[in-house]
Amino acid sequence: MASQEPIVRMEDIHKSFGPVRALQGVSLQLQRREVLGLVGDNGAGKSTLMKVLSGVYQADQGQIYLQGQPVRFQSPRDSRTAGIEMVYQDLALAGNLDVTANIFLGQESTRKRLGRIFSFLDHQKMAEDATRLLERLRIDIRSVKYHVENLSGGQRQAVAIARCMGFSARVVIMDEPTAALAVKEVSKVLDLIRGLKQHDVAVILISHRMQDIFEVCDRIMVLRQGRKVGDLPRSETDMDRVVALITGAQEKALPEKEVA
Amino acid sequence: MSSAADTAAKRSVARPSLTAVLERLGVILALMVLMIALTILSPDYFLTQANLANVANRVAFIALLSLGEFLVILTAGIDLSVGSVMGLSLIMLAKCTHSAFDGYSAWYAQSGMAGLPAPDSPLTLAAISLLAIIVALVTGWLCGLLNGWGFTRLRLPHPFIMTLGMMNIARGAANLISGGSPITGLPKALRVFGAGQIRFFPSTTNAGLRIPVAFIVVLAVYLVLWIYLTQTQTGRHIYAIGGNPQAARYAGVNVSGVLNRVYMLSGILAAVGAILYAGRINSGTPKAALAGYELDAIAAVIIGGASFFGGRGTVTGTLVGVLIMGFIRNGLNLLNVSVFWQEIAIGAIIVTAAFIDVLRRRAARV
Repeated sequence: MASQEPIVRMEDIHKSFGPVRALQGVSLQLQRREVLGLVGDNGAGKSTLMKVLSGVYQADQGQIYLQGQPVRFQSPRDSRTAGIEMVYQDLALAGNLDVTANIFLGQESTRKRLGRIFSFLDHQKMAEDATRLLERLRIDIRSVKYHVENLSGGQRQAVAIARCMGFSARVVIMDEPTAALAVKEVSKVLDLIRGLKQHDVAVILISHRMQDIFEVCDRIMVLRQGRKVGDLPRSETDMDRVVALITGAQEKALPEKEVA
Repeated sequence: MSSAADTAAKRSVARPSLTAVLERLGVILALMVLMIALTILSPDYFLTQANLANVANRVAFIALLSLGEFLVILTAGIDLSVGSVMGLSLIMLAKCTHSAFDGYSAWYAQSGMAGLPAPDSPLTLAAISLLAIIVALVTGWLCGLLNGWGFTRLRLPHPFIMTLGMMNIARGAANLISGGSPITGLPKALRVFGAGQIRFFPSTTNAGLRIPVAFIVVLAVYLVLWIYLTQTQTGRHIYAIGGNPQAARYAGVNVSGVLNRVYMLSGILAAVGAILYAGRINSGTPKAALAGYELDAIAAVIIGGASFFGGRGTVTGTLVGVLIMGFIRNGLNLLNVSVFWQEIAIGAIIVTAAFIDVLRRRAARV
C-alpha cells in the first residue's frame, strides 16, 4: 500500500487573488520516479499551482499530501525541508560565484577550527562533493571552480538542477527549463531530466515546448482557466490532442474516475 | 563531442583565465609600475625608510575606511557615511578622554582616599584610553547599525539615502559635541596606535627597520577580514548577495541579517580608523567629519578592482587601491607637482579603474 501511495497528492486546490480565481479545485498526483508534464496557456494556473506546492503561496482551500501524510507549507523553506525543490525560471544562481559555491549556497559545509570556536568553510569537501554530484548526474562541466557567469545557458540550468539534487530532493519542479536555451543544449537538459529518474526523483515539468514535454514526460496534465482539463499518459495521446485541450478545442480528457 | 561544442568549451575555459588575470594581477601590476616609476623619478627620497613610513602612516585610517566601504560595495551598496562616522567617533574618543580625565581628577582631589592612582599616572591614563576606545567603537557600531536598519527595516530605496542622512547626522553631531573646535591632547597610551613605531633589528650603528604601529594594525585588520570573507559562511553570503540577492534569498540566506552585519562592520572599521587618526594628530577635530574621506574610500575601493555592481573584488585589491592613491599623492608631492594636479590624476585613475570593470563585465557577458 505504502509503495502505491503517490509521492505528491494535491486535492481540490483553490487559490484566488482578489477577484481572479487562479485555481478552481485542481487535483494533482505525482508517482515516484514519474516525470509529469504540466501544460496550459498563459494564465492557466500552472505556475500558481507549483507555487502552492513549493510554499510560495498558501492555498485558500484544499490539501497537499506527501507520501500519504497531510502537509502544510508556510514558506519555500518548509517545502524544501520536505524534499521539494523548485528550479526557478530566472535561474537562482549567483554568477560571480563558482559552481561549487552555487550548489552549496545557503548550506555550506563547515569545519570547526581554532579550538572549535570558529567554523570555517570546508572548501575541499564542498569541491569534492560538487564534483561527485556532477559526475553522478553526468553533467558536462570541466571544473567546479568555473564561475557560473562563464557557463553556457544549458550548463547553468544543469547547475541549478544539480543544486536541488545536492539537497536530496525527492520532487523537483522545473519552470520552463529549456525556454532560454540553444537548440543543442535543450537535449542535454532533457537527458538530465530523464536521468533524475534513476536517482529516485520525481519531476514536474512546466513547458511551452510540446516536443520537450513529449520527449521526457510519462504523463501530461493540462490546465485551462484554473481547472484541470486533461490528465493523460503520454502513450495514449498525441500533440494535436494536447494542443486541443490547451486551447479548448476539446473540452476534457480525464481518467474515468475523475470525470464524475 | 562535436567540434562546435569543442570550441564552445574552449571559449568558456579561455574566458575565466583572462578575467582572472585582470582581476588578480591587474591592480598589483599597476602598483608595482607606479613604485618603480617613482623610484626612478625620485631616486633620493622615494624608497627611503622615512618616506615609506610616512605614506604608511598617512594612508592607515583611509585603509580602514576603505575596507568597510569595500564590504558595503561588495553587497552592491554604498556607505556615504564612513568619513563622518569616523569623525564622530574621533570626537567621541577625544571628548570621552577629556571628560573622564577631568571627572576623575576632580573626584581624586575631593575624595582624598589613600592608594588611588594619580590622574596622570600611566595606569589611569591607560584605563581612560581603553574606555575612550570602547566608546569610539560603540559609536561606530551604532551608526552602522542604524545604516543597516534604514535599508533593511525602513526599506529606504537605496543605501545611498540612509548613509547620506547618516553622513549629515554624524557631521552635525561631531560639531555639536566638540563645539566646533578641536579637542587637543591625548594620552600616550591612546596615541601609540596612530603615532607609534616598532623597531625591528636595531643595532648600535643603525636604527633598524621602523614600522608604524598603524600599518601593523591595518595589516592585522585586513588579515582578519580576508579570513572572514573567504573562509566563513557569512563571507560567502556577502559575495552571493552582491552577485544575485534573489538567488541568495531563494537559497535561504538571511539577506537582511547579512546586510545589517556589513553596515555594522563598516561603522566599526570607521571607528578603528578614528583611533589611528587620533593618534596621528594628537587631537579630535570635527574637521575630520567634514573632509569627505568617504569619497577617498570609495575611490580606493574602485581603483582596487571591486565592482560597483557588487559581488566582485578582493581585500588585497582594496589595500592595493589604498596604496596606489597614497603613493600617487606622495609621489607627486616629491616631484613638486601641485595638489590640484594630484586631484586630477586621481580622478583620471578612478575613471580608468571603473572602465576596466566595465570591460571585465562585458567580457564575462558576451
